[in-house]
Amino acid sequence: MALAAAALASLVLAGWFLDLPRLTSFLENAESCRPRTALSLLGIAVGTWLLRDGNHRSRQAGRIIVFLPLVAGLWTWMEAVLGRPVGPDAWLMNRISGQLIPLDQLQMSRINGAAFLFLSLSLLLQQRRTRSNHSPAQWLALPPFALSLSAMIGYFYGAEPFYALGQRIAIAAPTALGILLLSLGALLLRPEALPVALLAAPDMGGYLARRVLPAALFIPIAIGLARVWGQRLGWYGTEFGAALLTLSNVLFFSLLIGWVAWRLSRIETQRLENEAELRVNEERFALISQVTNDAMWDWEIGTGRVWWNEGLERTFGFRLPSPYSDLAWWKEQIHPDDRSRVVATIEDAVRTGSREWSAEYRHRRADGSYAHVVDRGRVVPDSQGRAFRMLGGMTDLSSRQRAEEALREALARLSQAQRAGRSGIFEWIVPEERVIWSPELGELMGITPGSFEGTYEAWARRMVPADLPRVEAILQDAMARHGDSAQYEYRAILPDGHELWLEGKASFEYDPAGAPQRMIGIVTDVSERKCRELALRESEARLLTITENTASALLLLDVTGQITFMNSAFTRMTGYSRADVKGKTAHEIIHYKYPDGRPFPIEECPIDRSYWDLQPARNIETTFVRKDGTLFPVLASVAPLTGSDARPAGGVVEFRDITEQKQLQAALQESEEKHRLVFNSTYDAILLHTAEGAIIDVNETFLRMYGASHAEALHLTIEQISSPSLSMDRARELWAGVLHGESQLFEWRARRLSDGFEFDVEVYLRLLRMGGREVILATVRDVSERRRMEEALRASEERWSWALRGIDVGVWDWNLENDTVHFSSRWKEMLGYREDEVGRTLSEWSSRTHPEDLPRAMEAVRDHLEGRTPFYQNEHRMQHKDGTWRWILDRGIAIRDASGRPVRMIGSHTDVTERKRAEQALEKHTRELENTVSERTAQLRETIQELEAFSYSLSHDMRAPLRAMKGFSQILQSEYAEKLGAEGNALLQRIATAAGRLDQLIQDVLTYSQIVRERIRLEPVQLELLIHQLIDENPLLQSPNALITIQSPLHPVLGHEAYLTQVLSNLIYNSVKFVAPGQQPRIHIWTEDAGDAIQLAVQDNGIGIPLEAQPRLFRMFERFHTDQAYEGTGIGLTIVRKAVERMGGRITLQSEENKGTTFFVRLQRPGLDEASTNSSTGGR
Amino acid sequence: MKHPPILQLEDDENDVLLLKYAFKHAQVPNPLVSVTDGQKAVDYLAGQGEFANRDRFPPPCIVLLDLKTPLRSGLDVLRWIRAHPEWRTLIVLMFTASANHEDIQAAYEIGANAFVIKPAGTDRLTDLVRVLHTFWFSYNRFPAPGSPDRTVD
Repeated sequence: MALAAAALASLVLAGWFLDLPRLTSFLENAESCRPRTALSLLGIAVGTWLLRDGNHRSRQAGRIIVFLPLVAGLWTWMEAVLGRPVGPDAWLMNRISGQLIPLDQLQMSRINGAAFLFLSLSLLLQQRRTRSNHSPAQWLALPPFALSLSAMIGYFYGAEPFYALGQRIAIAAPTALGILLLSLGALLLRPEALPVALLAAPDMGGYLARRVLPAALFIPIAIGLARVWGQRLGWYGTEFGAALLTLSNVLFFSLLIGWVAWRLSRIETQRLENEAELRVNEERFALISQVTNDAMWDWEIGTGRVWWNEGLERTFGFRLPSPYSDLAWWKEQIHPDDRSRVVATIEDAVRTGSREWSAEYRHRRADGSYAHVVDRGRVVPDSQGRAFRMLGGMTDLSSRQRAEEALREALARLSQAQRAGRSGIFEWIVPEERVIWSPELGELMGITPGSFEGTYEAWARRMVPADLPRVEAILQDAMARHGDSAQYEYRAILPDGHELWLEGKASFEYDPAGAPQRMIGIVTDVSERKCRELALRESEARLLTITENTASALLLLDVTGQITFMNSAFTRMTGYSRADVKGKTAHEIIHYKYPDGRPFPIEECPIDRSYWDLQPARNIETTFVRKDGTLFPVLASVAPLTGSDARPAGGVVEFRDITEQKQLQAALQESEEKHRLVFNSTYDAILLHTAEGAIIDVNETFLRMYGASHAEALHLTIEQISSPSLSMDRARELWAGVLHGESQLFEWRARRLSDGFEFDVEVYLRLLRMGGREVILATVRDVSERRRMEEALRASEERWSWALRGIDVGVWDWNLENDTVHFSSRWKEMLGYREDEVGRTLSEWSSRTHPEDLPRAMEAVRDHLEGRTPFYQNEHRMQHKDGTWRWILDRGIAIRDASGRPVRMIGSHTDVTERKRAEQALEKHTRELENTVSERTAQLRETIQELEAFSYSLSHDMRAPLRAMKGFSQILQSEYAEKLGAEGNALLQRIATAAGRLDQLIQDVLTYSQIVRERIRLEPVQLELLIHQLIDENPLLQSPNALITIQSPLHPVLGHEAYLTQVLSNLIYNSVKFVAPGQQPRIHIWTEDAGDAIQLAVQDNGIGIPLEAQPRLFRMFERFHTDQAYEGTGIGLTIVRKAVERMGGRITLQSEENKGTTFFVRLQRPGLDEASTNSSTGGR
Repeated sequence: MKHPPILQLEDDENDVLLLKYAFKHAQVPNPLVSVTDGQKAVDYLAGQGEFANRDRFPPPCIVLLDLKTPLRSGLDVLRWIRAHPEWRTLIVLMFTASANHEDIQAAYEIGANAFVIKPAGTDRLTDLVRVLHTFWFSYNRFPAPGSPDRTVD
């Protein structure tokens, strides 16, 4: 602007020098710009240009230069006051033109002078400001601006008063332009000061001014110019012009203001949004800075002031009086060793405007300790790109380092712990089938670090295959249950083939859907424990096996005497289970009473005493009590136990049930006594010798038999007790024999010691072993009595024998005691044998008896011997010596001793062959007769059956023509009724009725014959059901035709359903039929329990049956009513009776004429099982 | 379609006549063909001898058999029918004057579909025929035919 004005002024001056008026005035006939004015313009322009620069020297020069126009202005006014030109310009003018230039030609316009005055003052006062930032210079620049503008407009429009301004000398156009430019320049020289600052302001006022002011200056001018030109060209008149101008102005300004308003509104909206965003950011920053542990800072580089957030206090403990400190304070807090380095880097960052700065150093805390921090910052440049702020944050690394360190330590500890506990940690990421092992686990499993494959399979492979299903089952189960944890044990296989017992404890994690995600756990080597467990278990099992298999009862008692352990033998012996012995002392349980029932005080208990006195006790014989209260003898031993303090701590009691032993002892004693008794009371004398012949023992019988005392007996020799007539050589021979083991039975002549009496004896010698040495037992029987008896018997026998021979009867005598039989000679003779051909055993008889007959004969013998028959009698065949079979009638009777025991049986033997033969002939005869009879009967039965079949067939065939008769007569009746006439129809009806009756008769006969013939099976029948069915199927039996009452419930009976239906329907129909005319039949049915039978009763209110007719009632074709009203075939009741009889029943009746009849049917009662299985079908 | 015939085995002419009468009165549309002995019934079914012409003697849809008939008894014929696969599902009703339990048992065991006692009197016979016709032709469904010409309308 200043340069343009300078150029303009130079141009004017050049005009003056070259005398080119065109350049001095611009317009024709217009005032020219005087040289003085031009110089002033130039001066101001240069001054302005110099003052624009911030340089102090040029400003000084500018001020000096500006003084010139100020002087020029004052000069002008001075000239105006003086009335003549003065000064160098006048001189210059005069010199150039060579003539005196009138004042008005040279003189500067006064307005110009004022303008220059103002402008130069304005420039001089450039730096001055009022308190409200107003610049006096600018206010001073405004009047020249207004004057020049006015002049310019005047020139534009050709309106003189505007540029002359009532002055003699008007402002020249170049001057006006120059002043305009310079005043603008003066105004814009300090745009930051008011009022121009209004224009330059970044706010909306400035914006409005910048948009509207230029338009307000130039648009009216332009429009006005256009209007003037238009009017001058004669396009329109003044009025139109004015209107056009107004309209144009209104339009332009409206549009302008509208546009500006729209822009402003947008800017405002934008601004509000930005503000909101800013506020949010600010708030966010404020919050972050409040909560973060980092110390955040904002360093105003120019002032050196540093703002800190609360992090400074929180992390470092500094509590500053205000959030601000200076930079020096910060530097002081840096560890001296770090300080220079950090300060250098941050200064470097500020210098280079680095956007990123960071440093790690030690920063002091309020307590004097140093925190290891990382500090990061960022330089914020101002609009000129100079660093004016720096923002950043300082993080205390110490806590993180501490945490890292702690973690490291924890891991180390964990690792140690794993190693120490011989355990390892694993993690199974289920969806990925991935398994992670801690190094310690790998170590435990004996694999080189990092060589674990990390798969589930690799884990499973290292397990003893037998354990895998079990472990997998546990894990699957836990995961299926969504369990938190699982515990399992398995054997792992190490690469070297060793096995480890591992115990795993794992916990599970699931995703929200419940699918297992992770299993984390720890496995521990429990091999040692497992070994111990196994060993312990084995040892326990061994101990248990011992305690359980020992025959003795074992008890472990604590110090209170309570049972802490018992084996099964204890339970077996006493009946007490573990539960029974709880809370009681052993003494209370099994030892509380003596065998005689007296209480057994514990003070007297040797077992109790034993473990209190710490004195082991063995073989205490006492009695214990079983659970059922019975006692049993025991042999008990006690081993006291001592606790660690050497005081009694209970004991082990072992005992055996010695009942058997006791019994055995008793039995032995008894046996001993018994034997002694037998030994002494035997009929025979008994001697016991050593092998050398010395007598060891004799029984009492010997003492009696030989008349010796017991003392004498032990010193006897064989000679002393033998008849002197006997040779002792034989005795020695016999003795030698027996010593060789050959038992000897011989007869001897003995001599009584007391009186020398000799008697016959039978001696039996036998070598025995007794207690490891050989003894010889001699049994001596006095046979002199027997000899005498035999003699007598022989005589008697002889007598009998003769007698029996006379009646031709053989005799046998069976000694049951020694099982010998004496058969008489006749007995032997009758079978064709000589006397000596038959021995004395029973087999002589049994072997000759016919094998078919023998069992019966033996049985008959036995029956008699055992007292079931008064005597024995049997007929059997025996074989004769010639081979023929003889029929023998054998009879006998037993001889019994005092106690009734048979000792002997004697019988007779008679040959009855002849008689038997006659009998058999008779029997054969009878049999033939019987055969004939049964054959005849069969023939007869066949004939009857044929007859029955015939009658059935006949009846059946007879029905066919009857049916035809009935059918055709009905056809006649229906088709030819009219032709037949009344009588014809009646006759036809008779034919039909007769045919019907005959048909009914035949049917009844058929039914009867069926009932007679048929084979039936009786089954339980529900009578009630049957009767209801009967009534339901026949309207005739229903109300009002009849009133039938049933007394429920009816007993079920054993019968045949079809037959019972026949019976009941016949009886009920009869009851309905045989009533007095006009009377409603009333029938009552019930059953009665008649012991083993059921009685069914059908009672009616009919006409009754006369007493004299009753016997014939059930006979066939018997009818008692010729009356048409009671027609029938006369077979019904016959059928009823037959059916009842076929069911094993009986029918009776009670009747009174005109009162009614009751039929009673007795039927069988079904068996219990039959009734119950069928009862469910009853009732309806 | 022509109604397939009902074949009756009955030696008593009277009964034949009565049944025909009953058929007429009960308005049974199926023709009643009667044969007087068991052999003829078998011949008819087998389409042999005098019954060789199937057009004149089409297969019956129902057979009524009397028990005691000349040459072959009703039960014999029934046995023959059940022994021949093409007639195994033929409806056979025993239709007889009277019977004992053994006969009924035997008939069912061989495979009779029903055992009906001939009633006396035309009215009852007509009733029976009507009932039988209603049952067999209205309520009953015949088994799948062995040959197409045995279908009924």
